[in-house]
Amino acid sequence: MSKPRSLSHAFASFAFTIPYLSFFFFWMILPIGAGLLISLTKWTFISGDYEFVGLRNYQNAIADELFLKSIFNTLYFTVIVVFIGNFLSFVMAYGLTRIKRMRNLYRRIFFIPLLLSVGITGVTWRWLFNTDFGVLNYYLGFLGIENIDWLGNPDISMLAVAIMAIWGSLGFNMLIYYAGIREIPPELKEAAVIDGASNIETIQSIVLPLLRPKILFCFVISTIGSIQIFDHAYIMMSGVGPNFSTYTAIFHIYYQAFRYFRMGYASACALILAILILVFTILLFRYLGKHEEYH
Amino acid sequence: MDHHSSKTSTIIWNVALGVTALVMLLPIFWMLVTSLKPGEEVFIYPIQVWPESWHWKNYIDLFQQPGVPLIRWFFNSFFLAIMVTGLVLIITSMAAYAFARLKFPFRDRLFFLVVAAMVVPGQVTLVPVYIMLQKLGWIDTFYGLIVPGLAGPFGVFLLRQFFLNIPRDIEEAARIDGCGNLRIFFQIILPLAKPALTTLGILTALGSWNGFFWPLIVTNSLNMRTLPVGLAILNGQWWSEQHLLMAAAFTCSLPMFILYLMFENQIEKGVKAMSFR
Repeated sequence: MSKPRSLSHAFASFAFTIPYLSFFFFWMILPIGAGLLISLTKWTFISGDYEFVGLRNYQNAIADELFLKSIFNTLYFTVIVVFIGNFLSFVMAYGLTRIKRMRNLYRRIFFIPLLLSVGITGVTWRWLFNTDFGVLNYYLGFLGIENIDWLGNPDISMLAVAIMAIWGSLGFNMLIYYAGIREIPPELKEAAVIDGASNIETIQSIVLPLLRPKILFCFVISTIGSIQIFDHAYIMMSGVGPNFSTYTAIFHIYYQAFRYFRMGYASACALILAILILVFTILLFRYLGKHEEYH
Repeated sequence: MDHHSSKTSTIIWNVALGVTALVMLLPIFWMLVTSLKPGEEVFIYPIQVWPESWHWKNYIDLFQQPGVPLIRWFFNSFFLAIMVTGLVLIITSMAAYAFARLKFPFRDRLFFLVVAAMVVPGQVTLVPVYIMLQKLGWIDTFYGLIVPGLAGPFGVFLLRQFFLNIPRDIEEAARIDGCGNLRIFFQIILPLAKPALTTLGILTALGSWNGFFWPLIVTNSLNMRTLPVGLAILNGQWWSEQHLLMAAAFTCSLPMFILYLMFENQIEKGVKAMSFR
């Protein structure tokens, strides 16, 4: 009895896992290993010739001013999007718990950008940001703000990309924070109010600490996403932006690999970026991941 | 906190949310209004927000532009989303079930590897996968667009979590009745997992329909482009035809709006499910 069953069990395990695992090994594990190896070679794509060069690609990358500029641009963008984006999402989520009607309407409106491709929203924002014919400057004009050259001014263009990115991810973070705030037992907040705590004190002492896992999650997701920013800038700027101001790290990898066909060098840059992402994720876990018990 | 101050704060929050919601809607609004303007009204300075006459014909003209295979792009995006979603659901649900319930050598180590791969950012595999596709002759084909995406670990992770929560008694009862693993999986587990499968299916379809970077790199002929990449191309070509560009943008958004209205709860559940990682 036990033998045929374990045989069929082994067969089932094999049949169930082999389709996924073969894709996984061939298109995930193998490329990760290959990426490490390629980054140690000078690999010219067109001829397919390669030569082992050790760590030279990495040395070239950290000496490449354009790569450093792309990293700087990326980090500038990341800081804006992560901090302002999460702050706004939290405020909106908190506000949502304080109103009684139209919650679902607001939730749906904030969610719309998540449904749309950056291909769609990118062309829309580009037209919205247009200096003379865009509706944004038109409305800002009523507030007394003169025509801003959103996409042409190298000091502002990255900000424009960041605005679009914050718009695009606000609904996601807000949904997470909203669900998190609603999970907080109301007794805790009531107790704080009875103790005479103001709203801001309640947020500081009850809401934020209990929301910490959600904050960590949203910070990690938006940091990882922001460091890999490419689509927004690519579409809205139709290129690298004025004076390379929206030239991000992924841009550099993309150009090096698919314009100049320097596959080894591009792989090295990709791995440096991956390490950077890892470091930031670890830092976030260290600063936000502490567990505090409130029972 | 007395009754009066809580009332004022409700009003303040309503105003804050209302203003933000209007800002959130501004791009969609501008897209729609521009898409309904006649071409000559688009570049007027100072601008007129509302069109003088509603020009619905833009939505027909859109499909009759020479050298713009918009319908083909629609088909490509649809076909891609359906194929990827279907294959991901089949492949990952089987693997997730095995990881959750069956016992086999190295199971936990393999699963750890799958989860660990989730943290590797996409650009690390970009160059090698491209070279592999080139060697296989899959650049600019549906194979190149579909196959590498099937290795994604998220679905396995999500579904395994769901399968772990299904009570074991249900399977044990079926096993005593003489059901084999295959029958248990297809006739008992899969129907029970419908909510999780729907969530994963919608997230996968959404991601595929909206994907940009990968189709941009893998395709190069006009006829193999997907909608988002096609739009980015039109973005350069149709600079002076913003009304058509915006009509195209809105047309491309429609399927996802419809999907959202149909599956609102599952989509939001899916987004929340991601935060329990």
